[in-house]
Amino acid sequence: MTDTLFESLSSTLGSEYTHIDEDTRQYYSMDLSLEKRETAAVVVQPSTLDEVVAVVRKASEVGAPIVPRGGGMSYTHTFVPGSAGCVSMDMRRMNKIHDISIEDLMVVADPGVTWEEIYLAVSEQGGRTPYWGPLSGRFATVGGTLSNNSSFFGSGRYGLASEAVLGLEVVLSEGEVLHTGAWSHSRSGPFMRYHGPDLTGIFLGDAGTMGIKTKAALQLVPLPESTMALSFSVPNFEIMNDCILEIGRTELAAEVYGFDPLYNGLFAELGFSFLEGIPWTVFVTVDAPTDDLAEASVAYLREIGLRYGNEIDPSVPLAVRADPFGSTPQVITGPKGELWIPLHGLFPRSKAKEVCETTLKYFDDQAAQMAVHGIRTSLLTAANGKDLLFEPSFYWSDSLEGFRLEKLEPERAEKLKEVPENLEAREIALGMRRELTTLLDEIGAIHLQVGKWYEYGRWLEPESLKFLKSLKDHIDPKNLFNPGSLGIN
Amino acid sequence: MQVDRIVPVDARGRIDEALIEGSAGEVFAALQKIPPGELPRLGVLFRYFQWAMPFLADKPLYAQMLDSGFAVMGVIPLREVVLGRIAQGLSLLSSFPRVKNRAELIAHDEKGFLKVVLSFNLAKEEMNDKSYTRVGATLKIWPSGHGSGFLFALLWPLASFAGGVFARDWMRALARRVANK
Repeated sequence: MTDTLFESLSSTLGSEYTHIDEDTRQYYSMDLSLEKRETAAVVVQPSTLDEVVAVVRKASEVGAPIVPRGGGMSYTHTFVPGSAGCVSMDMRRMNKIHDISIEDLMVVADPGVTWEEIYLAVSEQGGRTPYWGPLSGRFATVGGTLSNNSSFFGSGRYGLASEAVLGLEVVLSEGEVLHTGAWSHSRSGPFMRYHGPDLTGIFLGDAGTMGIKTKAALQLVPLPESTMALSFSVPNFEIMNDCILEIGRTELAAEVYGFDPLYNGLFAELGFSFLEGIPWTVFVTVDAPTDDLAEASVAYLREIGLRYGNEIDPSVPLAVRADPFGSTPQVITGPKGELWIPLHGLFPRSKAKEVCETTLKYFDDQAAQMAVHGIRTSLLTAANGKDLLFEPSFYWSDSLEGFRLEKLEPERAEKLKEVPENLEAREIALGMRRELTTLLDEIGAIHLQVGKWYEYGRWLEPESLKFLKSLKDHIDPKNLFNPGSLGIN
Repeated sequence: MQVDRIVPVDARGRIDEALIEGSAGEVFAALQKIPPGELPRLGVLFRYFQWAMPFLADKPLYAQMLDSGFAVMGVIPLREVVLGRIAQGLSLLSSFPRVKNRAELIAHDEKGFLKVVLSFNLAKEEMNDKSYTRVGATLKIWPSGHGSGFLFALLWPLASFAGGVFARDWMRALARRVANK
């Protein structure tokens, strides 16, 4: 079947954009999650809506599953094939930005546009999306991010990536093309999300299981004229989270996040030597239309921060803003070039204390085993609006696979490519990751980038799971779109 | 530009520019990574004296500037970053009162000190279907407090010359690093 499908797809896209060689198939079967699953049978790189429709129809005819893929930056197998015989659909050739309208404060973009590209394009015209990208936005695409959902730049004030979406263009399982929101109105356009029931939401955070996104309409906000920042040293993890959440709920901060001793140590080596010896920090970035308004917000937030800790040099959040998508090489490995694997959860403030205690106790319980295998941990937190985004990570010395190495600076990749495999530590770290995730799930963790790793289906109420499955059965009766995702099939 | 909101209009300054093939992201990433030893001309000096300061020769200049007391004073993502500090005479190496933000830099008025601001700004340009980034390095220096203007006027030509030599070499290294990516 694979050969026939390859020839058929190749005749549509051209041999340059249809791949069956081993190296390419292996590459497109990786993300940052370490654990191998299936290998894609064919890799395609469409560049137009018509090509996507053609691929979907041809794959559907022979029952070949399709895994849409952006930058591949998930750590939860979202873009890794979950069943044999998959077509991996690399969306990055669909990379045009259409219809930037400052008048209507919206932009329509192809799914393969990166967050860096969209930021540069819309900011040139005086706009910015409310959520404006993950730290990996130099690689992460709009389509991939919307399939995963995400929180970082702008999320302190505006929330998740999905909240910036006004409408979508989606290819369904038989090749039909659907528009959502006001975009579906025959006399309107994609200026508003809510036109009757929220059809857009079905295709967000869906891991690409409901359809192939071929365009996204995103809201814009006026580009802030002023950006200022604050930083605080705080005495411990619990107070750090309290401070972050107290600042987050004001909705005055574009980003609020905290570093632990490991990350403060890393940044101290990058030039921020004032962080040496400071264990826990809170960083705040404020955007505003004028300096006066930014200063007023900073003054208000400073009063809050000083209730929890001491003010320090605010250079870190400003430096992060200067090159917002440039920290990927720092964050996809540990400070010493270790393998890195995180997990995360979103929680309401009322559960923050329990989350802290549970995590710290788990790390304490595992301390001896981690010491034996050289496994380190970090605890990053951020405010997503009023809520807590919590991301513990594990680090250990182990070989970095090619997918990670290519994201690093060449000289760093050269140094790290010879690091030997450490399968024993890897197995233990991945086991701990699963155990801690389960502990946090029991507290009610809500996950972004559910992919094929978080046990989304397991924790759904039966009626919700049944409804979701019936929706999936209706939209994608042959279960062709990214099977194995969301834990619903 | 952010730098214009920080620096008084009568501050002395110089701007050095370079046009580099690559995106703003690539250029910004490279800008932060260049160690002194990578400077095409001045790097020889750093490599020669590496025995005396092995760590500094390999540590990126951007990080060394931050370590030496420069703080980030303003940003426009992927377009501009402004670093600033207080210095005395022409020395940027000694330890001086660290100002941690632009408000403190602007407010500092102790006689005998200089305020130093270095801004990098990036602008996209397209030529012959290729994407370039124009990088501007703006150095601005002005005296803190009143009454230091005359002495500073004498020092400025030397500061400007040294700043220009250094900035141009940094730009050359930047172009080379982006091209080799």
